[in-house]
Amino acid sequence: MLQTQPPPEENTSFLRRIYRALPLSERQRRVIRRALHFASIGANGTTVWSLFGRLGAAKMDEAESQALATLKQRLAAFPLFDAEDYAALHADVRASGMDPKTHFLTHGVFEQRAFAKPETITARLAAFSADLDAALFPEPTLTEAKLARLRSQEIGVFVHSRGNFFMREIAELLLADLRALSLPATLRDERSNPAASPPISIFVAPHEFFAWEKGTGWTNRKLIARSFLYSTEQFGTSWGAPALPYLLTCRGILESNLQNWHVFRTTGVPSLFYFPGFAQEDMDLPEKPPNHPLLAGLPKAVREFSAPASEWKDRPLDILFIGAESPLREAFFAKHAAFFAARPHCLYYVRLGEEPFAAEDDGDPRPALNRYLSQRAKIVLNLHQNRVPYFEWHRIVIQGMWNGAVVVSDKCLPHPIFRPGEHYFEESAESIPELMRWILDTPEGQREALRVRANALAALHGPASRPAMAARLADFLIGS
Amino acid sequence: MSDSIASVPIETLFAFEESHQSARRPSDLVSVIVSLFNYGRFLEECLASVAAQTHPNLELIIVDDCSTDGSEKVAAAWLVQHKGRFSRAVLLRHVQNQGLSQARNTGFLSANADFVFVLDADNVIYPRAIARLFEALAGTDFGVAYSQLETFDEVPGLGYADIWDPAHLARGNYIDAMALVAKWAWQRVGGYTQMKFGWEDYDLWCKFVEHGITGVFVPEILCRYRIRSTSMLRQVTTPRVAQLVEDMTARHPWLALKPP
Repeated sequence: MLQTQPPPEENTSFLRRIYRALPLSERQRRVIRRALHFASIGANGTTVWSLFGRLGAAKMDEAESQALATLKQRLAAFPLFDAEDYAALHADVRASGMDPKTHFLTHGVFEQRAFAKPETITARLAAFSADLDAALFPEPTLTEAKLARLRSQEIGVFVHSRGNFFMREIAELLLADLRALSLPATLRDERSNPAASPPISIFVAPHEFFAWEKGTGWTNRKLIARSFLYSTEQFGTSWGAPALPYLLTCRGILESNLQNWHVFRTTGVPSLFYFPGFAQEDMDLPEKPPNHPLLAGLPKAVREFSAPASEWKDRPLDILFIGAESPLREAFFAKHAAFFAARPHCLYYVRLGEEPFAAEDDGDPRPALNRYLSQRAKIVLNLHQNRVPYFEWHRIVIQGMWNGAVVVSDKCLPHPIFRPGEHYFEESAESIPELMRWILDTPEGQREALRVRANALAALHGPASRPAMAARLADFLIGS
Repeated sequence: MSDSIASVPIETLFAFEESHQSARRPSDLVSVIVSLFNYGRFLEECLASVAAQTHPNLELIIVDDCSTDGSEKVAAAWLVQHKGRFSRAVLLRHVQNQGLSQARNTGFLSANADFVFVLDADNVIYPRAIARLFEALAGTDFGVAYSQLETFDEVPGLGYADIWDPAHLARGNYIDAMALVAKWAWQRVGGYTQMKFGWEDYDLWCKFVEHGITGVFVPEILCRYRIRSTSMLRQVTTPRVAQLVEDMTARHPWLALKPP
């Protein structure tokens, strides 16, 4: 997913003032933010992290001992840890002579250390089968009696108020699934009171929710232990490690990525394969343009285009890409700049400055902008941000498909529903322009595009249909 | 701002005008001004990219800021060959070196069109650039249209362009000079200001903000910005940037620039 920067802290402590005043590189700032994050956790008392700090203390109550035991047990089974990489990545570990795994279990995980190199993570993730196994899409066993029991409990869906704006959208779509079952669910954020959190609490994007501002006040281990976490981040990014202790000690994980789901299941955390749906307005292909300044710079044909009444071949944009900066993406666009320059395209390449890639308080237009443009593009392009070939399942792939675009991606790890050549097109990055040229310019490519596009729309029903996903979600919440 | 647009002594080295040009100039005419100072070796690539534009009605104004490498001869020779592509093509030369701001202002003063594309002689544009920027700017209240850039030569990559946002501009410039500017907007803010160490384009956008003029971002790769290690080195010397930050903040107190 798009990565976010923590928002500037409101607290004007000495360190933070220095942080703001110094002319630092983004990398330096990241290190300092991490440090500040730990400082704020330390001040919070009963956090997951403090379990470690209190290890030596004789007084550890039974619940704490239990939580720590669970964490250690699940970490021991965590399949992405690699001892050799870990020692290579952390010179102090190698120098200490300590067993890398022991170091990770007792220190590293709490210090948010990288547990393996990206290429190792990719190889391990790739080893997980994409077969549709029964555990992936269990038959819903939802009965009226179960539903009634669930309806008697309050459900809170939490998302950070200043997090990545797509996370807010994902939270809203989760809420829509719950409400479709008449469940009493409400959307909340980190500014509410942790002590008054509902019996069923679901935290969307824990890697950012628990990391910033008042979100750090929600890391109480008892709260985590009875909460569901909706994991939306990939392993192998700077966000992959920080949320791990929370994820491994929570009540259950909703996971939108197949390989990640396998990882969590291997550790023994109850896990549901779940990805979000669509707002009603997507299905109706809305005409109303979102209120966003990017629209003014697009060809008039984009604004004049009537999506429901038109055919794919008449879409005014050849290619749409919206995504955050990364060296791999930048190298791709620089290499193929002439290809893009020759065609109507929309490239919204977002530089991550010091300001957060944050949701605006009310009615953020950017998710709607993404949908609107996906309805006007022939091709929606998915390029991995880093070397882990994470499938950008929601924002790019599913949204692209749902809005009638053809998805073109660089090589992805397998997905249980969407297959290359059937539901989307896949090529290595260097061959993507050639593939797109074939799709856009040749009769054969256009025919194939229409076939793949129809398959994709059909695939959004079946096991991935909203009623089926929602029923499994309700089952999971009541059963875990 | 109390800037005023001055004209300086120039000589006209080359001038061509379509003889059968009607009295009414076409409403989609765009003036391309190419500012040139000792970039003779890149000039032909630059000018060829202008001639290859899909936008039909162009006039070309090359302003040589008193080059010492014979750039003006390269320009004149090219114009003899390719003048027919343009409704008007001129080569103007400052009698003395005046700096980049004046070179651009000289170009604007000579321009007949309502819209002026600003191009430095070492850069290149893709064929759809002017047509797309013109579509975004013509008939609107925007003062400038700019695209995403490809950086090329020694540092391949993408530019920093993003939607027009004064809060973003306050933290630093992310909009390159290579843009289509409405002449009324240039006029209203008093043109480019002579800056001792550079950042003329940044200064122009800041003046736009102060006059309530906004710009429109065209989110396509349309222009190519040449980066060479020598020019980069020149740009990043710390004392120079420190001076620039100080000057810019004095001129535009709403800026929140960090010292280098």
